[in-house]
Amino acid sequence: MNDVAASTSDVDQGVEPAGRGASVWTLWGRGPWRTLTAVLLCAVQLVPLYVTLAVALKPQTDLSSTWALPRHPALGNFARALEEGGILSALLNTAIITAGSTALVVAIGALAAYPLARSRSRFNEAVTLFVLSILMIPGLSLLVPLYVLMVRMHAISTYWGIIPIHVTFQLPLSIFMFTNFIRAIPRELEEAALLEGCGVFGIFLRIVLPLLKPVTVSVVLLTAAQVWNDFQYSVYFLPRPTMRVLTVAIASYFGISGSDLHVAAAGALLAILPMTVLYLLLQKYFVRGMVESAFK
Amino acid sequence: MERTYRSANVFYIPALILFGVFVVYPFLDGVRIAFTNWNGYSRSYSYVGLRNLARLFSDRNVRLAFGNSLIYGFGSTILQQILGLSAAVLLDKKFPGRTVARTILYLPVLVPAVTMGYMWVQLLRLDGGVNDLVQVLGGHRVLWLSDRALAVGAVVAVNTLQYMGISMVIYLAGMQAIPSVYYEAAQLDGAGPWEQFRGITIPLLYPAFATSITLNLIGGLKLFDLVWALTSGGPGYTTHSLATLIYSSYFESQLAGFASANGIMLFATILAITAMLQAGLRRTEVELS
Amino acid sequence: MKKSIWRTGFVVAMAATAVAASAAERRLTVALNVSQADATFTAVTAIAKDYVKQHPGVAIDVVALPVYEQTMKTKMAANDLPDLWSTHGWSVARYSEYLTPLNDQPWFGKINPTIKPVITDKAGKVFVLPFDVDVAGIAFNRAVLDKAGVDPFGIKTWDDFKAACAKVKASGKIPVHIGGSAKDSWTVGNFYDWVAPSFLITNEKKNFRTALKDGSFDWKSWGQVAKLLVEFRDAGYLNPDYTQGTWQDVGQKMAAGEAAFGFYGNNVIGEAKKFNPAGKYGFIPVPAAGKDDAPSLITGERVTLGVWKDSKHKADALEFLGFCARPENVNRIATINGNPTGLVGSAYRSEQGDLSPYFAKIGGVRGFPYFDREYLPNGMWDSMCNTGMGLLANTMNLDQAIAKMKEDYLSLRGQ
Repeated sequence: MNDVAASTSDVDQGVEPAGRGASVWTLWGRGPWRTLTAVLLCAVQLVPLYVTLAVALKPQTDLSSTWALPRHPALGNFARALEEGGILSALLNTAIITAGSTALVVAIGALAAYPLARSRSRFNEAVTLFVLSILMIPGLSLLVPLYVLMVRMHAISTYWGIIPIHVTFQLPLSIFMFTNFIRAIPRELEEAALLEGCGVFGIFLRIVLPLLKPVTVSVVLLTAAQVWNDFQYSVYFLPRPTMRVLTVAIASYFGISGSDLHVAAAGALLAILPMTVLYLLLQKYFVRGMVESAFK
Repeated sequence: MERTYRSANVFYIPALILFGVFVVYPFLDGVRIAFTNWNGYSRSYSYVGLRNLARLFSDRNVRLAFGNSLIYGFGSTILQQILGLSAAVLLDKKFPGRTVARTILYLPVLVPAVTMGYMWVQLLRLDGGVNDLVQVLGGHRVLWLSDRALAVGAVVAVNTLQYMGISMVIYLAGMQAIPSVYYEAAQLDGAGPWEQFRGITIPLLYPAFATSITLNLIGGLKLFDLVWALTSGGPGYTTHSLATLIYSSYFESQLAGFASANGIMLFATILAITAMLQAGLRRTEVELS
Repeated sequence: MKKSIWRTGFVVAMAATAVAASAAERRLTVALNVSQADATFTAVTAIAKDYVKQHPGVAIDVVALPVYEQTMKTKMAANDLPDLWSTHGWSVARYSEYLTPLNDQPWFGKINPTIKPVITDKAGKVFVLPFDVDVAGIAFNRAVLDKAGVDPFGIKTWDDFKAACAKVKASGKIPVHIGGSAKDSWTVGNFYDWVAPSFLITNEKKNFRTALKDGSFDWKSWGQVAKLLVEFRDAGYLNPDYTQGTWQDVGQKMAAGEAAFGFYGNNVIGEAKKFNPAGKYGFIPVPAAGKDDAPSLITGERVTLGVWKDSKHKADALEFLGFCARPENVNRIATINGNPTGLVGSAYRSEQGDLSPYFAKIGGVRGFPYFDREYLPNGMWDSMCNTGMGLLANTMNLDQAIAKMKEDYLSLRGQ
């Protein structure tokens, strides 16, 4: 562990390890070349976002080329998206649903991962495989029977109906990551706690959980992004306009008549913003969190 | 200690209950529907035995979609590993603009696939940005999404670009865990960058590689949102993935039973491919160590 | 800890939902298949507001359901439907199982005879209130035709039409904008819906009406319909991006005077007007296949509303429907697209605006229902769109397209 910490900071400082041969990082060339390559790669990734921004800043009657920014950028589309599209209320709904789902995914996922990581019985291996296989089921296969079930439970257009659905489908990834991470934690700490007379839940709560901070951040980021961006389930399970989420609100601008690509573009950009901010805030934990969970 | 751990098995009961109610039960209902001629909304339908399963083998579109799904799955996965690993090596060492680059390269992952699809549809139009570039470089304007080969390629390209960020981050994490003492020792031995990469980086990244390739492959095989947004399976059924074909059969052709049978086949296929992948990965891991 | 904050927030949110849900007692939901930016949506919302003002104790939510048809099918499967919804042409063929028959309603006798056969099932029951009647022919930008030297009223057959296209092409404009992108594949299906009747249905002396309905139709005859599409493409009469044009493009190009004809209802004129309100637009009946037949029109449902037969507020829903049937409300909706009103009588009148001269010329022209709704089994709309797109993109040849149509026809009939 200590080696890793030291070497990471070395590399972070940009200090080249000493030696005769060139280092592996010069595969991409030195200093300015790296920056140039990075710029090129980033440019490609930014293209669709740039074009969307250009479209969002033009009124519907502006028919100029896709690459050109308008001479007088108009924020009118953003205003319309906020007022008419119900983007603000959709934002609130999406935020509540995402926060609730993510919190539960972390709690239930970490709990479930603990025995699966520690107790490698045949049954538990089967459970692990079962959980992973849920990732493989195509969404539509379950949609209609799930909808019928939700109707019978009176759960359509409710928070407490959609959140368990999201939790269920985000759990496999979270259990996968938590399991790998917990396996990397040395058991000594838990054994010591057992000797001190801690119950197993106490061990989990007081010893293991605090150590899970980095991977928890990763799970939060991945789960939140997927719930935030969900369309397939949200569009059917949250039809009431007051309960709409962002993806559905934006899609409502693509109807057969009255479609307005420019407002839709503005809405789409507004919707991406919160996730981007969240990522920027948490990203320094992100990479380190995936360090331990990624490779076991 | 083992007994204590075993007593913790109750901890995964909440998760199992959720799976039982929201996954297993609807899945079984879906299996039942595969044996009917239901149109998806009527109160009445009848059981037709194995007719839908038979159609899976006779329908030309299923074969097309199956092939496309394999291309979307394996094609994207291979490219994402290459791009992700290259980007990780690029961003591993600090240089001016690294944090910005890391954020920008990951940004597309945060965009919903449907939105990304719509963005690229605008770019790939006859009068769109990509054709503008092609013309500037001296070529002819092309109808990118109207030719099967070009359209399938476009889907793979967009899918790769959008989700390479995930593999990039997995590899970055893996690389940052490799102590640079190894590289230093190799350098002292006179090994060049390529040899260091092949001898140290790749073997030690193996677990990261296994995770990344598994997640990317499952995602690519069941690709829906992007294909639907870019091509809706067209022109003329040629770019359907199995997932979009299922959607179209169910809602547009009103063949709920056939769609359900197709869904079961897709699930079984992904399960089989993933199982083979895991077996292969585990074997190579043993060989490497 | 972070988690407890999340947990508290979650509980608060749940409580808030519960409170909000118990607010208004009699709450009606009206689902429309248009987007929120649509003029029809605005009109129905206004009507609902008027109703609510006069009937305290009732609240009405007018909802634009995204992916309307898929959502409605899912809702039907679960028997969880809105109190009222629009049927977009499928009141009998798809939704009737879930709708209340409306023959006993006070406004029933006023239904426009043009549309009555289309919305009546075999047992004589009617399931929707028609606000307006879709009367469709081929729409066009009059200025483009004038410049190309085409007299729209002289077009009686497809040969006349092709000659007109040649003139438009010579003048440097797009003769027919067919849209064509995968996103808007319905534009291709629409072309078929417009063209098929002239070859298969309208000729009183030789038609396939019964053959299509009883399953004995020889699909080789579909070849003439599909061939027209290919001929247009090969002669260069379609928009150059005929596999990627969107519905937006259609409106834009027509508005900008770049395209002449469009095989759509008059709502395409409404679209074009959004980009160029000052343009001159018009429509003519669909040409006949040959000189032994006359041009025809396509008539069908446009804006309609039906009532769920298991609605918890059926009495209120029916009363609201009655309110919608009032002349001022029917007229308001019919005027949006300049269509004839769905109910007739002294006070029912829609403003056809600058389309009036064209409506004046269609007296006596026969109207036929939408081809796919009337003569094809449920689910073949998709086959029309996809085979059409396949032909355009050359991923299918004529024989393959015919074979696919036949295959789907037989398998969907068997359901």
